[in-house]
Amino acid sequence: MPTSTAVGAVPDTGSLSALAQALLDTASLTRVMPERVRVAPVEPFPGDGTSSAQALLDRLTGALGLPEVEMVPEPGPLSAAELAVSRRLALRPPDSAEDEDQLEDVARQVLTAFPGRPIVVPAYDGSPLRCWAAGPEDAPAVAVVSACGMPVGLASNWLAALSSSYRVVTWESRGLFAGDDGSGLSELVGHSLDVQGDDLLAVLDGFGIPRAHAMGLCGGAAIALAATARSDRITSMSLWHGDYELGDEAPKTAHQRDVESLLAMVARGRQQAAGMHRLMSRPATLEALRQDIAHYLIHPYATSELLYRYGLLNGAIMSTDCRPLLTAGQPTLVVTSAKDTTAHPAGSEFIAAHLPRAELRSMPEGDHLTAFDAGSELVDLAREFLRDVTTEDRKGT
Amino acid sequence: MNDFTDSSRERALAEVLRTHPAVADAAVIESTDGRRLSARIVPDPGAAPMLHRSAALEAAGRLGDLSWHEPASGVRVAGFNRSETDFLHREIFAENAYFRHGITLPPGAVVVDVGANIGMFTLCAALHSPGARVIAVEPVAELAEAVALNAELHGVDATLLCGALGRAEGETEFTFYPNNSVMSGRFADASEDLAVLKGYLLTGQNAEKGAQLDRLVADRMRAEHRRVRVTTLACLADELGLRHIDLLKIDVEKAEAEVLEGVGEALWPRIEQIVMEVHDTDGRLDTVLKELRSRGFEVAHEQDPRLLLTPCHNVYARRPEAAAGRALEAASASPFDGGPTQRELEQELRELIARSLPSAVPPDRFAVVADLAVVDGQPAAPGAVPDLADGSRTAILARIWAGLFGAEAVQPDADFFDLGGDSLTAVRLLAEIEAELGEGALAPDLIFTDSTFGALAAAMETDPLPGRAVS
Repeated sequence: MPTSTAVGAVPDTGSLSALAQALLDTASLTRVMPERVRVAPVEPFPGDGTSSAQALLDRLTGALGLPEVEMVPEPGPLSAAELAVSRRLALRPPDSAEDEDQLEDVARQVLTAFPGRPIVVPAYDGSPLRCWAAGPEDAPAVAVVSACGMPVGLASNWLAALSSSYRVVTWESRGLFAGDDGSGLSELVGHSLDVQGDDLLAVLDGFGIPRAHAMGLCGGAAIALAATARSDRITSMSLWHGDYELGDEAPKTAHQRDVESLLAMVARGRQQAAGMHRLMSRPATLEALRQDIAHYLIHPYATSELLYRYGLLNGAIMSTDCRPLLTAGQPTLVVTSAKDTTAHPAGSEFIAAHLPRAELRSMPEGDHLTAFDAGSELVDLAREFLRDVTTEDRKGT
Repeated sequence: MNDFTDSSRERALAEVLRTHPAVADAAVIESTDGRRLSARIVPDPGAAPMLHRSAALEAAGRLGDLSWHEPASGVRVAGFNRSETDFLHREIFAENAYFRHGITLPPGAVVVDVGANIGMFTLCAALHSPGARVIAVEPVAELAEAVALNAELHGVDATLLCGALGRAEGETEFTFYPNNSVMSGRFADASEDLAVLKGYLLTGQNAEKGAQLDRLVADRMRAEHRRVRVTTLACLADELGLRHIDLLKIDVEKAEAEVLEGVGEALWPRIEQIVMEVHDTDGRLDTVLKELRSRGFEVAHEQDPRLLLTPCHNVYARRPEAAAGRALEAASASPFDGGPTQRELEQELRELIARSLPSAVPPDRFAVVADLAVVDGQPAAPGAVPDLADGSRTAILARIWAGLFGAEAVQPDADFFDLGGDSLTAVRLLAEIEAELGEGALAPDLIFTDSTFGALAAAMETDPLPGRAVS
């Protein structure tokens, strides 16, 4: 019979399972940070609650195969990334006894829950790519190309929304994510936009997918464009709130210009990245990020090495001229919104006007990050377009 | 492609801005390098009276070394350090620290605010008690100017005494901490005040850490020593003809017992209520409580959990027979009714542009001015601002700083983060400095460690760039 313990920690959402999910959801950060990540509870725990909660966290991270985290009573000393982890965990003392004997089962369930564990596929230059696949293997394929440096969790809404009807695959950017086995970051071999476009094709190879629709989100739109221009294996595209370098053809927002400057600075070298990393580790950095997804958004800023590599990878995405890529004749849906103050909608408008077979949908609502939320309106739009462009695929299967 | 040329784009943006009811006039200007757009807004006196008055006060040169701070919706005040303004607003308005334990304000109250700092309590008392008369006492001239400015901005009847209260008339040494003005006082003691500040910074939600704490504390405890005039509360009451005082508020950093000693036998019975901060060293809290009880007050005291590591306590004293006035509650509606703050107006204008000119790039910056013609090309705060055209690195930094935060923010003590700078603003600052002076002209860490304009300018002047002569 399971026994009960009266102390421990649970997140705001309640259960041990939710705590396990939160730990897994923040694993991209805890795996990559050089020191043990410190986490603070929502409010200081009474009595010896901290040590009991620490014991529970140790058991749970052990069962999940994750690095241990160190519980501290107050958030004061934490960096922005540590605060992001703390907020996602949202630790509180439990209202009632927690049934910890089921901890191993809980960990197993969480590890196998959607979207599951990654499959590592080699890129064309041998770089390991952490990939996920969902949906029927014989269904038409959709490759979700997320923004550079974003953990899979940010794209999981799209995976969930489309995987009932499509074989959906995605991957995390090369060189920016540590392996599950504790081996740390792999070497960053190449970082050009073409190399990142090839990664999409390598992912398709890894899952034995001959052709696919490429769904590019934010900076992923430029990667999708690059892959589509190089290969007719991409049979159609949808580009959501894309961030493109188009010379003088389209204005950029102040945010785009600032991020470009940041990436150029940190890409100069590890020393420059370290200086900027110290600046960006201020807790105030977190306040500028949407709270529910801050633990994803902050990932490429979490260490100076990540920031340096992010400068190279995302710098290539944001600075490579997309105009030569606008020859791809595959049917394309371009989605933006006048309310996107992150990636200027004029970029999407230009892309839609110059791709041979593109259709522009300018949504009345939607800031940049809503593209990742996969709300019903966007999902309906995606399904409608996919239905039109994948009919032939279905007939062939 | 852009649909219109640059000048017509700016005109179109200005036209849209003018359609907002809180905008009397507007202009949009492109920076010399063509990369940035700035909007200048003349607020409408009817729809945005607070912004209109603040622009007029600033145009008259009244802002001096102060800056406009907006600690909450609808609130705009002249302040010295943004973080202190936020702290004072939170303590006085949001947390209602003074109006507890039965302390209330009748209409037309007579309030003496001793240790007024920038006048946040003065505003609180006056805005909650229609017809109130507030006497604000503040020894630091810069802060006293803020009290005067804030009273004028919000139409408050305040009488200002720039001096200190004590047990006898005379003059005294006074320590002013420019970066931590709320701890300034007659009995400042570097090591004691350091311990109190550390205690505060180590406690609570925004607790600071290790080396950062030491750096922060060292910066905040930079002291200036002055001599200030001292009078007694009894003399002040005589001079101003105060028959009674509904509420005496005292926050004078360890000089509180001296203020009470200067009340005088004749005035004691005419004071209805007292709220005061007491630094409990050498049994001072007990002494003060006994004194107040012996004078016929019912007394309560409490300590803010964030000040547990400090000796600071709040004491609340009221006469049992004092008429109950209006009780203030922390959650009650804001008493400020002067229309939008600049931040709120800017947000509304950005939304207006997004609706009306969806393909246009909105201005990077919005400034509130009294008159488009006068402000254009005239930096504020003459004398404190470097000559923007002299070609030195300080001048280059000043030009870039002004582009980010406004010309009025080019002050030696203006703090990058206090001005609202964030990580991406730091990137923009660095990028623009690099565009002028080349790579590595300013290390990113410096913005974190030496975040005032003066310190950054000094660092840029003393750090020779490789292969580049100092201008």
